[in-house]
Amino acid sequence: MSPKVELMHITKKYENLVALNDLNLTINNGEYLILLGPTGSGKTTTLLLIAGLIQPDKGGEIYIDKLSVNNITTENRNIGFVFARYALFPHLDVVENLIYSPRVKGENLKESRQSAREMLELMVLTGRGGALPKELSGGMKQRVALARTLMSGAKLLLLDEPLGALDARIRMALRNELRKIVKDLKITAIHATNDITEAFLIADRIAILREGTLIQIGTPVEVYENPQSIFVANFLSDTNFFVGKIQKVEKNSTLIELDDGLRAETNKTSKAENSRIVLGIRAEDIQIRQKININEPNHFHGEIESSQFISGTNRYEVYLENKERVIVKEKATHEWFEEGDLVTIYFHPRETLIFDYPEEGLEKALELE
Amino acid sequence: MPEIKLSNISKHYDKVIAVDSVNLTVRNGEYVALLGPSGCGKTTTLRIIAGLTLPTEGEVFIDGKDVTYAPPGDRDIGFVFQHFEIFPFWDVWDNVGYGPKLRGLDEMEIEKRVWEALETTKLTDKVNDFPDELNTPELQRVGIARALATGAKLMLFDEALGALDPKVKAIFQHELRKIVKKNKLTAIHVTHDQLQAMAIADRIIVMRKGRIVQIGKPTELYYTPNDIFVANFLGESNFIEGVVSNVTEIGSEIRLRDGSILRINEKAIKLGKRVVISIREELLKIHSIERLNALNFIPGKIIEYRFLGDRHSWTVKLDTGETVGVKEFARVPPSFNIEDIVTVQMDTSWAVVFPYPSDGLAPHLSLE
Repeated sequence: MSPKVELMHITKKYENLVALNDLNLTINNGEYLILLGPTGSGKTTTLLLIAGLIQPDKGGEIYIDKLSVNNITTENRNIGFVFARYALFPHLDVVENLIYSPRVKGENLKESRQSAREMLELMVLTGRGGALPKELSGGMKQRVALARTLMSGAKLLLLDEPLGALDARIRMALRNELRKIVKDLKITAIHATNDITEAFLIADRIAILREGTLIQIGTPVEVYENPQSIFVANFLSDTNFFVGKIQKVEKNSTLIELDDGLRAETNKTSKAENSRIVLGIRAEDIQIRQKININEPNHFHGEIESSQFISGTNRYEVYLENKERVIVKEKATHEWFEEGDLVTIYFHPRETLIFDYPEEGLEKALELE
Repeated sequence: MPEIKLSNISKHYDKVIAVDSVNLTVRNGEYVALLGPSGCGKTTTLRIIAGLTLPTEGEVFIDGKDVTYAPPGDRDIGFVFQHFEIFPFWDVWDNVGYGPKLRGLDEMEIEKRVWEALETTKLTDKVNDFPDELNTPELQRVGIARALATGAKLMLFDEALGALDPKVKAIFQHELRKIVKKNKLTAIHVTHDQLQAMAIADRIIVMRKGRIVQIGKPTELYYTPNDIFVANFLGESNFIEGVVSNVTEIGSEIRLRDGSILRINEKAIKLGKRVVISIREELLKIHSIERLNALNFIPGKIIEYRFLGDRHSWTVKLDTGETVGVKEFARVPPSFNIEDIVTVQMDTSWAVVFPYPSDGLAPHLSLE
């Protein structure tokens, strides 16, 4: 059975720096959890704490299968650890690398070789058992490193930017495989990354960290559909933000007056009239068409400032008449807008996100570092 | 706004051919990306343009002048590296002013250039900060400001955004393009990231194993790749095998392994020929019907689903035995379940047909 991991009131301070601030987190049996956040958000610290490579400050407890492991050494936690930089023994071939740890533990050579062969098959590395690391590509080396970690029989796998050192395109190919392997082996995995697409593709649940604090956790759908902060809304997708105030609340609709004279309508708020809010609209929730003469809420006019095709998507920057810039993304078709085209953009009252205006200001709330 | 021309450039290291007969023209004011996997020769090509590496064969021309053996300092080039190469004991102003000073410009001119570069890169409030007080994106801005301040009109970027977080990178790449365009620079940008290449470049030069495989605008490479490697490397493609079963006035019909027929626009192929069809994931559409005996409909079973925010990602095992990915741009809940028996409709207007390679598909799909 793959283990359940619980972190309770975990804080980790280094002199003036709070690396983690009262983290409470449960990772269920066989769950694939992604720790997502910018550099310095506390992802690696969390992994190192679970591994027992560093200790939490007083008051924090880590449980693996209900057992407090605070006094249990790394070796005895039965954990596999994969880093961005694969550390393979350069003078040993792939199979020798895989059976190194079982051999040190005194396990049967024949059985170890057999499980190494099975592992290679799982990693789509069949036939490469005799190759030296230098004869393998980066993607292959990282799969061997993963295979070697899994050979230890650990049922809890910690991965710290496991695809970080690979070329972008190989990374794309490997992330699908990674989830499949972990699920096939029914292990619990905790994987730190700063790559949003990687998180969406791989995770059962995503835990979003910022400056040492867990700010939201949920399935990909939950965190995407219901971001609980401006930061999360911005981090998970290209979101456009407008500052304004609630003008009028009606039964199924709320009117918002934006600071720059635009009017918006949402059916998603419980905020009081006159309260100061931030309206968020995801780039993919905006429709764009040739300029039409219409003066309704949620219809803004502007000029295409840049038009780019990125992998099946058109990405536009629209310079609005009120001098704000909006990003719009849509599935590429046979027709597209060019720089200088006059357009009208529209979003549905349903496809809106409403937040209280942040005390620290909008810019600070969006800060990525 | 210089024009760069590489004529038959090769670079050999002992037995390794890093760059193999590269011919390339980068126009005045053009922003191009050199894209390819690690070891494809893109960085070596860039270094040859910069004069940091000498070619074994061929010539480099800048504005028609042969600079093949000219030292880097004589080429009027701004170079930005992945690891910034910022002087740690100098503040931002001194780092950015280094280039103009080296060129022996007078104080006023130096002052002017540095401020312009700092303004462009949004660093005016960081002038007196030292590198250890800056975060990674700010350091990267300093690297770019320093290259701009030299006044060079040719910018070379070597994985210049490689050290940034993906989210920061995605924002910054658009800014970088704006800077280049606004200042009317010619830029050559090395990257292994196909999304970044599409986001920044007017044209992309795809390299593999020292050679140029294809040059074109992002849309050209995406919709009309001339090579299986390019079709696979840019974007997400499905590859389906078949045999040409009919050639008519309006196109050709390809019979797949399960007997389904795809009709494509391509006419210049021979009856009976074995082919591979490359089709983008977003040009496939799933229908919840078991079977439809019509052109471009292939039966299969859903085996995987992932929610990607702005789109759904499905994996379908076709009755042909092949597995395809389907990307559905939709902001509605997913309409199918794992194990559902479905039919996949293929919009073949943008499908590309390749002759089945004599050495098999695998070597052409390799990402190295």
